Amino acid sequence: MNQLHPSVKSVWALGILIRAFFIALTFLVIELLFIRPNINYDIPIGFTSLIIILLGVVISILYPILKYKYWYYEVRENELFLKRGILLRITTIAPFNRIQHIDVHQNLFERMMNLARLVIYTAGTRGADIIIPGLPLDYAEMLRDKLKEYAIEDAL
Amino acid sequence: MSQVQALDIEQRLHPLTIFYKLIISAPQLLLILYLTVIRGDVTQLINILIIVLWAFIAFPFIFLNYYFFTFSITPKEIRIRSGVLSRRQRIIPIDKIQNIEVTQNFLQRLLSIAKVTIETAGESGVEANFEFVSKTYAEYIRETIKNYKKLSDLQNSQIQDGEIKQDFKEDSVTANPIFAMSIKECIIYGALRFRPVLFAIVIWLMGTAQQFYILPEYWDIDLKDLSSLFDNINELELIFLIGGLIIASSVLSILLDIILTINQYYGFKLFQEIDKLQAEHGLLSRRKFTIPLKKLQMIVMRSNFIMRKFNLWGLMLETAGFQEAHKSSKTALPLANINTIINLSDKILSINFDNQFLQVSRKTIRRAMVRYAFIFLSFILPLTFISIHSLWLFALTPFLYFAAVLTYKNRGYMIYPNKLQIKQGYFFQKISIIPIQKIQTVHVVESFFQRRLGLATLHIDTAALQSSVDASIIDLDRQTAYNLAKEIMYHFHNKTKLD
Repeated sequence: MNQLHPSVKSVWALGILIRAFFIALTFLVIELLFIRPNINYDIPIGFTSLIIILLGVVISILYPILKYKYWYYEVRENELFLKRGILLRITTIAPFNRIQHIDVHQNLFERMMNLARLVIYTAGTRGADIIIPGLPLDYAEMLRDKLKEYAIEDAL
Repeated sequence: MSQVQALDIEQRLHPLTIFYKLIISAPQLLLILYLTVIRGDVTQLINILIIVLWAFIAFPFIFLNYYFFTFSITPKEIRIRSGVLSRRQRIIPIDKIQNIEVTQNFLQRLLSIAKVTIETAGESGVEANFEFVSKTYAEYIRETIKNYKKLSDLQNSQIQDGEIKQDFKEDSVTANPIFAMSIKECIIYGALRFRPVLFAIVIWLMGTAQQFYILPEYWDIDLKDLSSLFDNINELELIFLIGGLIIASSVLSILLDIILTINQYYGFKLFQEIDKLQAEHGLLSRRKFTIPLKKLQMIVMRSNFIMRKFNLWGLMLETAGFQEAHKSSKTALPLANINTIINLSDKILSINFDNQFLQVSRKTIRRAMVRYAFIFLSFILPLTFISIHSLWLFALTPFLYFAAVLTYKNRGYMIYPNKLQIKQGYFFQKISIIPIQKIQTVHVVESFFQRRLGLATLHIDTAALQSSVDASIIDLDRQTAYNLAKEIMYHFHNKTKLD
């Protein structure tokens, strides 16, 4: 079984940091606009936001390491095998001839690391799209082209 | 008469389309007029801008769209040209057409115009709408396309088989239904469904009442008043009161359910056609639906603890398609003897069912017990605030264990080279049968608590519509779950290779 590319940890970490930053910013704005003018208390301005940022930093260090540790994938002869999850451990088997459509996605951070995400769509209802993050771009494209041959029009 | 004109000439929609679209867009105009004229917000630049946009773009577009939309129908294809700024030509081959619908809403009925929707078998988005043509013309288009389709199907089958198929009847419903429900069966079904009808109606009434502020102030009952109320009646009276209330509301609920069921399933008839089932039912509004058997994903049999005693089950067919219209869960048999269902699924759906199941892990009793204990506690604890004597209800705890054992005993699965059977539930039992080749993906999920007990849940994903029909085998032994997943995939690959 293969692990993802190690740089994916930085992508996840950056994502968490950005999210923490925006949540902190929202809290700061709410504090300055609505809470400070109405209620008086002793905590310095922006303390809540600071806590959120610190929490974000801690999570962005721990979570990607754990997530990476438990993420495995394997391209088998006629099916795709994924194993992932820290608390909820999910194993997915997706046969190639159930693939409807396949995409390679890249967000900003992934582009910086030259990584890509393979998104595989099936006709299923539950978890209809299967995502493999953290693949090197050229490998993801190679995989897409390989799997595309199996994609059939009428998978029902 | 205009509607008998040849269809293969390029033509426009009905002129009343313009009128209809103008009426439809009137509310927008009224809103703008309200903002500008009545409220006098003419100084607001944005309102003026909207008016200008409406007058110079939206309004002329209705005319231009009408002018530039042309269509023609030949025995081979439907050709549609549309678009004002970017011209589009769409060609729909006649043999790709699956369904033609003619619909009319109230206003359209007044204008005697209708919308024709053409559905194809391909991806979604390739369907075409004619908005709008006159009602008679719509029917004429439908009949013509149907005839063309018959013709092209006929030619295709001639090319393939060298002879014309004998049983070529497109929409003629067979005279004899393969299943029909009498009013007596409707009543039995209604009485045995045990849906919380009354509860739903009361909730709905309260919601409606609240909407219109009908609820009086005294609905806000203080908990302390309530407890003093309970202190004043003696315990026996209280038990009778609650018991009587439960019995009365249950009886009322069942009666209501019988009425609703009769209205829904009166005169239920199921017909068999070449590759689809057709059913009709209903008292006040008669409904018709078709189940395309090619799109069948799984079958679900439902029963409850009383129906099961009489071997009565309901049969649902889950279908799927690229278009939402084909995705659905349809009741093929609302209530029938188990043998009828086995026969039907064997002969028509070629899915044979047998009542043999393997058990899941015994440790599921522990998990079920914990879950029921939590639910139990969340009911009892609030009651103890009202009356401390509710603590006596804890005497019911052993029943939780029985419930957990029942849950365990009624969970089962069975795998065959061509299908997977999953059974679940005691009070409301559900048996799902999935043809192996209809499986999309397989997931094995271990939650945090399951991992401590060495358990796993196997989810089988199909293309059926709702997430509620997603089939899962809960609390298997971890190793069994992974082996089962492997076995399913083994059978799947065998089956799909053959096809």
